[in-house]
Amino acid sequence: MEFAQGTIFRSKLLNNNLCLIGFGILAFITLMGVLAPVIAKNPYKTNIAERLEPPNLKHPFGTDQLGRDVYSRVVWGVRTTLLVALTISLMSMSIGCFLGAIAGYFGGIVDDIIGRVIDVFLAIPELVFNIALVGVFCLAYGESIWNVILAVVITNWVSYARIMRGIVLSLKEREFVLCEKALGAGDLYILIRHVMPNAIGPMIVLATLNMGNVIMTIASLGFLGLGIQPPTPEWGQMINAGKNYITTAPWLTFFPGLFIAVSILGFNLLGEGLQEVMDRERIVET
Amino acid sequence: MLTRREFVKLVALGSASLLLGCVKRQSPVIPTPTAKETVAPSEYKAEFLLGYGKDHKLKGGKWGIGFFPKIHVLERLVEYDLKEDKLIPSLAKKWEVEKNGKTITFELNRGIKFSDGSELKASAVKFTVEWLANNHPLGQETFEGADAIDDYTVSIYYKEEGFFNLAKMAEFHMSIMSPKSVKPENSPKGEFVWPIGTGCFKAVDYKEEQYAIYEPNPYWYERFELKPKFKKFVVKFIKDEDTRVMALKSGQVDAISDFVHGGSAYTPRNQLGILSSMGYKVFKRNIPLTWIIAFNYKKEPFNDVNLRKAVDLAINRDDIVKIFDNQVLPAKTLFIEVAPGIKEAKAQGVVYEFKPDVAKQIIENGYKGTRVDMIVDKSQSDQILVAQLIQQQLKNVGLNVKLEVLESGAYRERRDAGEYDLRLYYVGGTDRRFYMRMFWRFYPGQKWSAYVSERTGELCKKVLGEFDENKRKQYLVEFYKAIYDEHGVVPLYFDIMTAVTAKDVVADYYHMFHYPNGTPFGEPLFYYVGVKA
Amino acid sequence: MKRYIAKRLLQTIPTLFGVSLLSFSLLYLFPGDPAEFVAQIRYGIEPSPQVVEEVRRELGLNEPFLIRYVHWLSHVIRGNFGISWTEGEPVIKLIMQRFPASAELFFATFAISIAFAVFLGILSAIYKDKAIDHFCRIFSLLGISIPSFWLGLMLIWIFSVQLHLLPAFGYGGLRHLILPVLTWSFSFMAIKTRFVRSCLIEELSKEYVVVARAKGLKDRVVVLRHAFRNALIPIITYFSLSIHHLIIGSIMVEVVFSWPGLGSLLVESVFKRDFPVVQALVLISGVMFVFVNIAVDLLYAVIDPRIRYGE
Repeated sequence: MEFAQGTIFRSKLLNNNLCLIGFGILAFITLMGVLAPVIAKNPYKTNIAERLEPPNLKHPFGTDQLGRDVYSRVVWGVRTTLLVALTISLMSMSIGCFLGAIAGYFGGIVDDIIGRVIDVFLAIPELVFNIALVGVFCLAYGESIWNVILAVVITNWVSYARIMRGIVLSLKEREFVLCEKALGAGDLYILIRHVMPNAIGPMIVLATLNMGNVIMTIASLGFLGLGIQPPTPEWGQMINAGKNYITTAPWLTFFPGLFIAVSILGFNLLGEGLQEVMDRERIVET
Repeated sequence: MLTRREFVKLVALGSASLLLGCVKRQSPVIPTPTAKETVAPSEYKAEFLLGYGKDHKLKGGKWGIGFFPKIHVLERLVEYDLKEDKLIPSLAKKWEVEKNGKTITFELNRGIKFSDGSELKASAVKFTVEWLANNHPLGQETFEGADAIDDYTVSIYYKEEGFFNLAKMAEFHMSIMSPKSVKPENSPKGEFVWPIGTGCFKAVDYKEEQYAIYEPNPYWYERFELKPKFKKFVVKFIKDEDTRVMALKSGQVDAISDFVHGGSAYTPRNQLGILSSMGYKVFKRNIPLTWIIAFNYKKEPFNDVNLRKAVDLAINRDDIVKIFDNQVLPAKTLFIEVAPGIKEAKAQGVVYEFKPDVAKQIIENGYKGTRVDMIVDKSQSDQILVAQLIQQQLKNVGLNVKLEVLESGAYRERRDAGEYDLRLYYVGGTDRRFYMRMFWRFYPGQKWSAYVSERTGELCKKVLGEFDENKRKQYLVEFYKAIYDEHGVVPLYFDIMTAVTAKDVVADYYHMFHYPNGTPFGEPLFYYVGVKA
Repeated sequence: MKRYIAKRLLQTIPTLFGVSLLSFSLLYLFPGDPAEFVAQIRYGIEPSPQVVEEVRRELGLNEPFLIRYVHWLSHVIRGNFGISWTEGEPVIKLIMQRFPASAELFFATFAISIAFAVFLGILSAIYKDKAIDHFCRIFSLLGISIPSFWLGLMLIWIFSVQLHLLPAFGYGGLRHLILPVLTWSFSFMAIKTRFVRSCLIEELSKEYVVVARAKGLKDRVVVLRHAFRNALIPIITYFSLSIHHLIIGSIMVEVVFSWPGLGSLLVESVFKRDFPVVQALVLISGVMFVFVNIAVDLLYAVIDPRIRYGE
């Protein structure tokens, strides 16, 4: 039975154009990141003799102020961005799901407190708070990738918590859960046995769409000079370093930006596609 | 609730007004001429707008007013000619040194007027010295007091002996102001109110962190028989370097210039080539300010002169200046060639060279796998680029550098706490600061020090004490050699002082970097500029 | 109704409280000694210990956290956000100086985005699953995927660098407004277009529409006269929610175009370590969000009494 359902689901995924395109884009970009050592050169290698060359056969995306190959930096930038974004997403998902589940499941004062905290974090515009936090962290702990990760996680867990809380709330009153409870099943057991399987779908959709947001935030912070610092290749920061050369060397800003846009687009397409498939699934179910 | 019709109307109105606005803007704005201008249409616009990176602090501060007003509103007793290594007359006609420099008696030029019309007399100099001795960090450590011998002769008494006292009188901070600049007037302990000086500009208006407005000082122009090409000189403070460049490109300002202090708030050198290719006029002057790698030489691993030598030899200076489109020169000596003693030192082989093989050998024989920390201030895009290149050049000889690009405040904290191995720094300054900075960077026990050893410290003392030019030059040569032998600092490139002007600005190099009487200035001067109407 | 309003207002109190606590603690996280930092800015590079002590007392930094918080809050409620560390002027004054630019950018973007979102949303709904619908969908997907700072730079490259048509940056006449508004609108209208579309499609699937269609009314008439009218409430509600952007609109757009609004003030203040300003901006943007939400909620309740589920 489960097997059959899975097959149907998979075939629906495959039939959804959005999913396919999004997945294709992401697979391509991830592959680039994985194969970076093979398909790209050393992103740190400077060559002053070849500085600020426009795109050509040797340097398909041109070279930057220090004669570094922009293509190689962009490709290695895939690693930076995806790794940092994944770390952020996993961390916020764990924190968010945990707090959301607790709030929804136990209710009462726990729910009140967590609910209020969620409200507070939802109220402050994410990027505003991110910028303020990164600013403080940079001063407090010096410059490091963890400043960015920490600052984004602090604001990012909220959306997971909110959705998770909703799911748990709706499941809590369902008969099978009440039954299990009456039979003396432990809270943890119920959460793992019943809540988890039902939450996984929406969480995956949320995480996919959220990855796009996280990448946007990382790039924005990088562009403001608050994010990942040079010489580590990171797209937003590359655009920041290249923006002064917009009149003479637009390729410095064009290509990193293109990769930001395309990877965010990939996550958004996949996320929307997944959502569509799941919505239809639900309609079929009911 | 909005009905559909109202809603549509609102949206339509909004977009229409926007569109209308766009159309309206296309008609050129015709400036309404003032009464004066209609009588005699001027060749030049009434206002000159300058974009500048630092506040002018016209109401004073711990170190007094800003450096720009210090050279435009005020003048000094003497100026410094780097090429000749000589102090030359300015407000003072001549001077006599007594007691090995503990007393210097200056005779003033006559007929010089402050911008309020009062005459410059010995009493004003006495007042300035006493005021500085009471209120200014540099004055406190320099002056004992002063006496007006007659209306035009003043004796200044110093705390220490030595040539440095005379050299210091050309320093920004030693500029002479009118006793009316403080409240109560003429009080050595008075509170600073507003700068009144004898210089080319008169300060008329100021808003902190926003703008300063100057007018030509008629007495100054009269003294040099010149006519100003503007009625108002407006300086806009634009802190961010990119925004400053953009302001010039968009026509919001007629020119941008470097913070005349040197070392910060300057037009990015990597932008100068682009600007000049776009048709902007770039005025630049070499100054004895050199960017260096400073070591944390009191701590492992750079307490080893051998490792310092490796870094020194690993640096390809010709490549570094290419980042700046060769707008600056590579530093193969500690200072630019016209600085005193540099040519002589060069003749004795004090030349910084690029020998990566030797550097590699040193690293391999004892420093394999060493990792060092380099800190960089992120507010200066030039420095971030240079640091990244240095990181690569050191990597090429086998030394791994961890680069930390820090926010300015964090950078200062790390620097002061000594938590770094390498950093970018500068020695020297504009011409007038040549000896001042030598004191700050190389004299024992200074806060903003670059490198001090027993040998270099001793030589620095000798240089600053010596009145005799030839002997001083000898000491300087020995000093350069000592720094070179000990690889105390690694010179990278010689910095410049720049002003970049828009196409419609009338300006020339000579007047930008010389006083009308021919005295060379390290900082750009704006008394002769104008914007074509 | 009154009870509902009172209840909603009461609900916001803990949120407002939390927002203020969160923004205040930003300062508490400040490393090192803020007093020394402020003294450095005011009196030069090396302030004497007495001066630092004086500043500490003046800023009330010697008090414990909670007392400082209460003190700060009591001032904030009266509109006093303290003195900027680096500018030496009241924070509120700095904010008021920058606010007009932010507001101008916001209202222009808001007007244009609404116009386009409604227009494109209606088109997509009418021509559902046709080429034009797909186009709108791609358009809005791009809108949320393309970073506005990059789009801004590209527009600068096209319109300022290549075509010399528009100024690249700065604040001034309407010509300066065009590129920033264009950039921001692109992302601002994206989700709104989708919202209008889905609202209309939902409305179009309702019985009365089917009936109207059966009566032989033209599609366009059905959509405009009936469906759109009914969908207007959720659409207006949704649009009004974004009014909170009035305070700190698009930070990235402001930074790219050197637009002197509150967004660029925030970034500048972070770099200058001017924490009272950062604090104030975080607080105000949070409070604005809460107020806009409650205002929209209440408005909605007034318009549509069914919403008052609280009673």
